[in-house]
Amino acid sequence: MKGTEMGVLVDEFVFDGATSKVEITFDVPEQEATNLASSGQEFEPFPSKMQIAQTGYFEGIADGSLEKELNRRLAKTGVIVTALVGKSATPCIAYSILNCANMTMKFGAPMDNLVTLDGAWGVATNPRRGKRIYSGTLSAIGTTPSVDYGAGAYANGGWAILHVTGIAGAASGAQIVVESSANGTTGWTAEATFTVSAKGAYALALVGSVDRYLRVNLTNKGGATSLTFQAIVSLT
Amino acid sequence: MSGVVKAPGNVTVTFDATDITQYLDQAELQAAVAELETTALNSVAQEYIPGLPNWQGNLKVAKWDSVIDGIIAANVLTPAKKNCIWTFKDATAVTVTYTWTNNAFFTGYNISGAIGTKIESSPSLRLSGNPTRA
Repeated sequence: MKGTEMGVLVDEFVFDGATSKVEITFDVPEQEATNLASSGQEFEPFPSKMQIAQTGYFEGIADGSLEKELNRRLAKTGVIVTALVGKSATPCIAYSILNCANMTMKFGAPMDNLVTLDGAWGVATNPRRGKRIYSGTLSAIGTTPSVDYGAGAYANGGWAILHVTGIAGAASGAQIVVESSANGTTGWTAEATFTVSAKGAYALALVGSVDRYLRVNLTNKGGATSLTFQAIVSLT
Repeated sequence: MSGVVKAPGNVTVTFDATDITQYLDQAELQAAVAELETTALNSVAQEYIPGLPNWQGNLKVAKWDSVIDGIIAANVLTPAKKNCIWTFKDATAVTVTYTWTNNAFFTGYNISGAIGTKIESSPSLRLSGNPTRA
């Protein structure tokens, strides 16, 4: 898979166009448990932490630029970031960190090359692995194609995440519902209802059992002409 | 030179009952032993005794996909000790097996994608205690 199959969403921003590399990193701390009866050093794993790092280009300082938005979120939590892997397909693997902050801002200025800008998203306590189930623009009430999350028992809920990257016109209380079904055709159940009045990222917890087939249902445009968004679901 | 073996086809790595060899283009198994200094005032040279061995595995994923990602991500998101088996086959087709039973977990996992490259991943394994060698 080509490296350009990765992507990064930061709240309402798609920074693929300003990013040359994305790296998702997990670190699992270990504590030594070697004792006097051990014949080899022994260790126990501790809860992990995830970080999403992006290497990019300095392309300006306006609102919506990588520089402005990294700086706005430097050391400030409340950010929702999703790294996509295999983004030209739906569904694709998505790693999200909820309530994170930008932990790094590094400008590079080599004499013989472009000015670069790096950021790294972390310190959240809730990293999630899931799948992107929709990416696009809806201009009419209705549902998106059904996506198979995969066989398995998803009895412990999870999270639904929405990155709303564009609103044509003005939305006030638009409703985007994530639904699940056991067969992908009938018996759709509303699992999470997002109320959207502005661009941004939204996250809702899913409770109880969730079926394997998922889709998005735009039930109310809230007065907007269209809404552009990417929907991610992470099931446990 | 007789006795040497190519890596492809002669090395396998199994984690939590899944053979992950097909996803790897590099696998490194390492035991490091700390030197414990015992040099004394009457020593004529530095003196050491060996400490306990410390085992680690370093992998490189050749072809990242959602299947190998699911195996490793499950362990790093919810760290837990699992079985891990490494085998090496010599030029006479005799195999040596190193087995950790419920004593292996991933300590690091990364997924990296950049322009001009393919998606890369270099997971690292902690192998706790000594293996059973057979």
